[in-house]
Amino acid sequence: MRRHGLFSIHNPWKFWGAVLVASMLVMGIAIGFLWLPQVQERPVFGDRLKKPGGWFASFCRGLGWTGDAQATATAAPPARWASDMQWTPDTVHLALSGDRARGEFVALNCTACHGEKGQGGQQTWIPKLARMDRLVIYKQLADYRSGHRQWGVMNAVAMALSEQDSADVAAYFNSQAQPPLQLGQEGSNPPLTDARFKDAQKLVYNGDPLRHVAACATCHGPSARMTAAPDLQGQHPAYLTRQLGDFAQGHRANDLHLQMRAIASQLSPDEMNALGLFLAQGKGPRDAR
Amino acid sequence: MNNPPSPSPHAPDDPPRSATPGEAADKELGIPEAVIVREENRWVLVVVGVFLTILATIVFSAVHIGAEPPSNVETINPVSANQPGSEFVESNLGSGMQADGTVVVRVLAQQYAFVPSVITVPVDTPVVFRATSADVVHGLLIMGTNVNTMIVPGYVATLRTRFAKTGDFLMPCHEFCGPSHHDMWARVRVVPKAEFPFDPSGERRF
Repeated sequence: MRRHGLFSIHNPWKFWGAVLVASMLVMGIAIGFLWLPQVQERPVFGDRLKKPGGWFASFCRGLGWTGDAQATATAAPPARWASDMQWTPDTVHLALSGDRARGEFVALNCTACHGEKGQGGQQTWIPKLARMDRLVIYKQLADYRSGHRQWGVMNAVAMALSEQDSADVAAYFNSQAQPPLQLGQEGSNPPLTDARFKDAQKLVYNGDPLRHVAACATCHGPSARMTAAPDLQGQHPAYLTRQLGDFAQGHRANDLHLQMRAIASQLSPDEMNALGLFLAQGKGPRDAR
Repeated sequence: MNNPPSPSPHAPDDPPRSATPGEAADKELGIPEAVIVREENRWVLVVVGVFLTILATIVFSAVHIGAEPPSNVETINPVSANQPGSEFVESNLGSGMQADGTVVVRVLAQQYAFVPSVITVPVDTPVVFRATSADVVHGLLIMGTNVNTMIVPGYVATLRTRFAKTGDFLMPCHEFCGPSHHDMWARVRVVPKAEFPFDPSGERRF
């Protein structure tokens, strides 16, 4: 039945279809790039920039070149920043390039406090390092070295290490066995009651939307992971609680974009305590008590 | 040629074929082609109508609500956006007054918070928002106002506005940015002019 080819201009459906689509396109371009930018020169809120006229200028504004570049050289307070760490591909590559065997030698400096093979020592405010992400260890050592994170002993230790040493020791600790989960109530006062357990569980897996508290699990795992955010499950509860308190008060401020300071400052001391205990137990979102 | 004669589109016992194609009946459905053409034309009108409605909506929002391509195209390296020398270094975030009385608000969006989480601006004062993202696409929307833009990593979004009334406004992230997207929002606190300290040096941030 077809008297013409599918794309013949003699086929009236194709021809008029093409004309219709083309006219819509022309109309859209004329309105979006020529007419609206002209109309919008009339101030809507009174403080609009004086925009230059002309059809070419209108067209550029439609494309996003509005000429509204704010001078960035305005007066600024003295710079304060969280860390020197910039996660460029080169940095990530260096941090992941560690030599495990050499790292074991470097780690002789660490066992006195962090325990044999990073399994945790006697002091519960000192973290276990076994299985910790390599980027985490690398970044924390860099921050101790630059002074963005303060802890006397660690600042001294880190200053003696090169970047390659940091990558090596990170590779060593990352390769060690997962430390056992901490199921007890160590350092817990008050104890982790069912209600507090449920509150902590909710914070870890859901966050608190009413206080803009993001869920721990969405950066620290297992839901999702952010670059250089450590695993928390199985960590010493006293260490976790203490770090939350330090973030809340700004004693620790080496989170790149204030992620942890923003969250911790919304938490009560009781919640920090419960979070530390809950995370140490490594419980999942549906573990009931 | 040995090709068989092309088969007739109609079996011999079909109704006689019409003289013009417009009156021919569709073989399978038995619908006259004129009816099909009429229906097709109506649907074309519907599509044109949808297109014109969308266009009219855009024109209306552009002219009467002030929607426009919000930003001058400016790029920034998100990896070093928080380093000294960058406009979005930690100590420079928040509201600051310029010499001309304009208030500039610099916002850094990241998974999953805005920095600062409370933005203080004076009422009835020209305000410039400058925002960028440290990781993924976020959204900046201040409820009850026409402030609404995407925050795209690698770009600086600029918005000009003026708050007509005092009070607290919710500023949720409105681009899905990850599993804690629902926890990401900030508060915009519009205060009387007298409560926003005038700072001719432009160095203070609120």
